[in-house]
Amino acid sequence: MSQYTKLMIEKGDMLMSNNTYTIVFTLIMCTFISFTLAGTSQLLQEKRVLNREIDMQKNILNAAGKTFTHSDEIQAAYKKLVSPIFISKKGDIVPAENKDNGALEIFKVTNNDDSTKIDAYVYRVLGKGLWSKLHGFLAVNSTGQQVIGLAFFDHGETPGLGAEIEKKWFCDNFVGKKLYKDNKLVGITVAKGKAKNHPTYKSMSNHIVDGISGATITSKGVEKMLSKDPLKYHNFFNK
Amino acid sequence: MSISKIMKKSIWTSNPIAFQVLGVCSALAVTVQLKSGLVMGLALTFVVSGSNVILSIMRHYIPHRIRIIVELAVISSFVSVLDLFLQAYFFDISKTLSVFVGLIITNCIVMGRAEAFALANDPVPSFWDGIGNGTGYALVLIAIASFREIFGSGSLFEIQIIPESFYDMGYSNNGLVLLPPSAFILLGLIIWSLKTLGGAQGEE
Repeated sequence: MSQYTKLMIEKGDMLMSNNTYTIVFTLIMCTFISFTLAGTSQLLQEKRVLNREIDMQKNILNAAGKTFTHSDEIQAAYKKLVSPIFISKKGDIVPAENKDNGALEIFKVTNNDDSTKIDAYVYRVLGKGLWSKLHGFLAVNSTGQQVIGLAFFDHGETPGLGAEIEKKWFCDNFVGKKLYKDNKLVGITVAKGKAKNHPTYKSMSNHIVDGISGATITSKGVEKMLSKDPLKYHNFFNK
Repeated sequence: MSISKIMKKSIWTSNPIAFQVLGVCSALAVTVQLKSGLVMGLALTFVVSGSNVILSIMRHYIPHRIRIIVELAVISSFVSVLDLFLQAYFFDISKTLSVFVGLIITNCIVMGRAEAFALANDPVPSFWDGIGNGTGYALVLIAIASFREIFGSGSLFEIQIIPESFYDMGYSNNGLVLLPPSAFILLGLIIWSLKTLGGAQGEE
């Protein structure tokens, strides 16, 4: 018998075991909790949405190789450098109004000093890790064949193992690597351990990066993602 | 019971992990890196002390047949509000914690302390009981996480502390330490040494 039950019996409180009281108590508690939660969520909604948006912008800029930490800087840089465009499945640019027909979004990132020069094209990539979906942004050059950068903004992998994919050292491995070989998409292999120990490193050094030991399934997910998602944008870059 | 007695009891003689064996699941899951272990310890301390106070204030009005449900409702709304606050004002921390915030609800320490202490004591001692148990939990997490990060990744707080020259001489990080079974072994060793030192013995 718990201390609490004993206490209740000592008090001889019949009210506490009365059905009507129990139901009324439950109703009041549920109403109160619903209002508290809904109210808090509503109050903080604007700020949470804004935070998520800034985080997205930060990652798009990060993928394109432009790092900012302060939220004002991020918003200013995003406004100045990034412009989203929409493309159809065939690779044609469609106006933003007609984007609902399965159109894909690409973020054009221009140079900081020369706004006519395009530094990178950034698009979303989606992979499957051990526990979760890996949401990321991939930045490529104007031919769509070479990687400018990679950034992950949402995943639920194990800290210290799979979650290392969001770290700078891992993402930096992809900078300058090639997705295409002889105009064919081959993707990028994530080695087990060091890339230079991989058997095909000599012939494929542009397509292999260092992996994370202990995170084989996450690495495979990243690999699969990079050999599949760029296909959707193939037509656009080959126009 | 005086505050110091409550603190000594919850941190040392009946430490939530070592003596009550509560909250073991998260002690295995979030201790790969010191940072996540520490943040989890702080977040849990906040939730236990907060929910203890609220439940202690409500304790004379809770119908005892549904008290577990009431405890759960209070704890989970507490955690949900905390989660929303983190997302709005401490976005980076909320990103680091990700799924772990939600997991606090299922941490047995929170409900264990509500059931065993808050429902039978006044708000002030309940608050200190929450602080003490949270600290006791955090200390064990810090011990396990430091060991695992040093020997598993060669770093502490993600800063490299084992020099590169060690690796050149043939030293390598231990992969087993990063996996959950190693935390289980470490936890066993910690409970053993605490008992030998006179802690984790329960009430005298």
